[in-house]
Amino acid sequence: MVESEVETFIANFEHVDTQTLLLSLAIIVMAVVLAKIVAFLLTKLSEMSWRYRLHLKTIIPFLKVLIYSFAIYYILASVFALSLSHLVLLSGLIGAAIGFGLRNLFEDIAAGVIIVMEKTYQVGDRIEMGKYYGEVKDIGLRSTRLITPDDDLVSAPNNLIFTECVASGNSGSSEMMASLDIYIENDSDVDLAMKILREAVITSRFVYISPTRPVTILLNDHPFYKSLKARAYVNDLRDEFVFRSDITRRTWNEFYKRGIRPPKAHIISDVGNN
Amino acid sequence: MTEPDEKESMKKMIFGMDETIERIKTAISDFESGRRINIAIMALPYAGKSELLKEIVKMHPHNVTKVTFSSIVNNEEEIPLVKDDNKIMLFDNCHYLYMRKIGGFDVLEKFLEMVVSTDDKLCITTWNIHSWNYLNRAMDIGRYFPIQITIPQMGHGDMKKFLLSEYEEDEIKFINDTKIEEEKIFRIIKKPIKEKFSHSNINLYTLKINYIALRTMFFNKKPDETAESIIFKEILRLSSGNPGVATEIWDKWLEYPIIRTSSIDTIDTNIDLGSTGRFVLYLILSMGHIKKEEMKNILNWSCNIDDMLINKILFEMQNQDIIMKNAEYYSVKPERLYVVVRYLQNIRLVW
Repeated sequence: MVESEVETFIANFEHVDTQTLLLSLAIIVMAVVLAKIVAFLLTKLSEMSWRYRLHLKTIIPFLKVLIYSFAIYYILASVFALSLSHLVLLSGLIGAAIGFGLRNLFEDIAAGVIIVMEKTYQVGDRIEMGKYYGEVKDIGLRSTRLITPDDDLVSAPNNLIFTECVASGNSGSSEMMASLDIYIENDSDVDLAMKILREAVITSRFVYISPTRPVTILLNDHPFYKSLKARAYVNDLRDEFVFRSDITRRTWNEFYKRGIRPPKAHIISDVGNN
Repeated sequence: MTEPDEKESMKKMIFGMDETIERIKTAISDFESGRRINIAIMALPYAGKSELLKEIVKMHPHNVTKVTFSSIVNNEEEIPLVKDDNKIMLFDNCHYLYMRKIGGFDVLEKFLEMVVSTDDKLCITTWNIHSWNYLNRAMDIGRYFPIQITIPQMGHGDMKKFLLSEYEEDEIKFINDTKIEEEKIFRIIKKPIKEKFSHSNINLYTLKINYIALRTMFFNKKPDETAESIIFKEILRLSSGNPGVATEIWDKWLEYPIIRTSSIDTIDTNIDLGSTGRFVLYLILSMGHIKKEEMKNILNWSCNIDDMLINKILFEMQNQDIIMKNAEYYSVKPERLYVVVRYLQNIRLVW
């Protein structure tokens, strides 16, 4: 029984002619083009609807997997006319291929499916993966593309999720926490400094505050200086760095007016060296 | 026909606020029996919060002191000290007590301190709803005002009664002069193109979608709908049940004693502003009306902005028909108010 299935399977492949190959190639090209169009349209739509940007972008990888899977199924089932048992046989062959040398490629594809299904991270998230940090631009079947803060496009293989920790700053939300430290002289008026820093944060045009997204100001005492830490949520994760810069600029402008000074440079460097 | 008393009340912006007035009456009677709970009334501009305060003054003419803030209060000395014997204090437009900048909350903090420290007085305050939402999240001011009342939006029936309350029955003539054509939603357009090499004509076919007809089919007018119904539906949509905005739109469309469906301005403004422009628009919306100098004062701290840039932004917004200048004050155009709110909500500048 199995032998006859194998024979039919081989016979099917022997009958593959140029026309079948061209048709398969055309289907693959069409699937790629369709996936690109869908991704382009959804990205465009998501950028127009700021509020639902991330929700719309989440659908993109799902649709891509769906389109590619359907294309592969169509090629195997309709063009090559394989039955279910043939498909099982083919998957066995693919398994062998993975064992022999395409392990990394299939590991990437498996990781890609896991990322999409488990939502380890989503398109639009700010993530840190390995040594890279940036906004997820695209989750492909083989790799994830990140835009770094310096506008570099980084392609990281999906299988990094098996070996590296992945940190997502916002996990699907438009807002994300941004924290910043400010160092002041030891004899500074800390109450005033904390009030100024708090007001700098809550008046920033980039801030987002809600009962679950509060603003926190913390004071740390060090031997020769004090440090203030502000923790707040930036309304749009793309403004993370301008948000920090906006708070730092306005805080220091006010600090100087009120006589609050940074610690002497040698103190910080001495402490750093120790 | 409406009764004279009812008609009188309809003319005012407090039409449809019976429940709100009842809650305030209860708070006042609780206060008279020894339980003091301060009240915050929130609404968008033109919604009638100042009219509501006038009504409270009318209810208790001998017990009430009313203070109206009409522009940003810059220092604590400008807050009127509550020294008179009246037990009920009304503070209108309390959103003018803060500025969104470092050091911009000192006056508000002083005011809140006064509100909680005057044990023998009941404070009823009104706020721009977007300023309130911001202050409540940033400073938790809701704790100072246990009773928080948001002025409700008017429904279709109330809006119609409210707008027609000034007129006699059948005084206003509603005319449907819009040509209703059997418009196709989808049309195939044929474009002949001359092919360069063979010099023959080929046709390119494209699909054209008639968005106006599509919108009409889903949301609007049925073919047999009366002119009156079309007009009130459109006013309600554009004003989102805000009586002040509805009155402005009504006055704009009315050519006494006729109001025509062709006057309906259904074009929703497409707002296109940069990051600083959006923040300026937010400031104008959350303050109701604001002077350029006041804006500059806030923006210099927030965005490091110069005079030329703010002029450019204001010019841009006037060009997009979303704000207007009255004397030295800038405010959102009433008929564009809800377009602006939706825009700022979409980019989450108002919460």
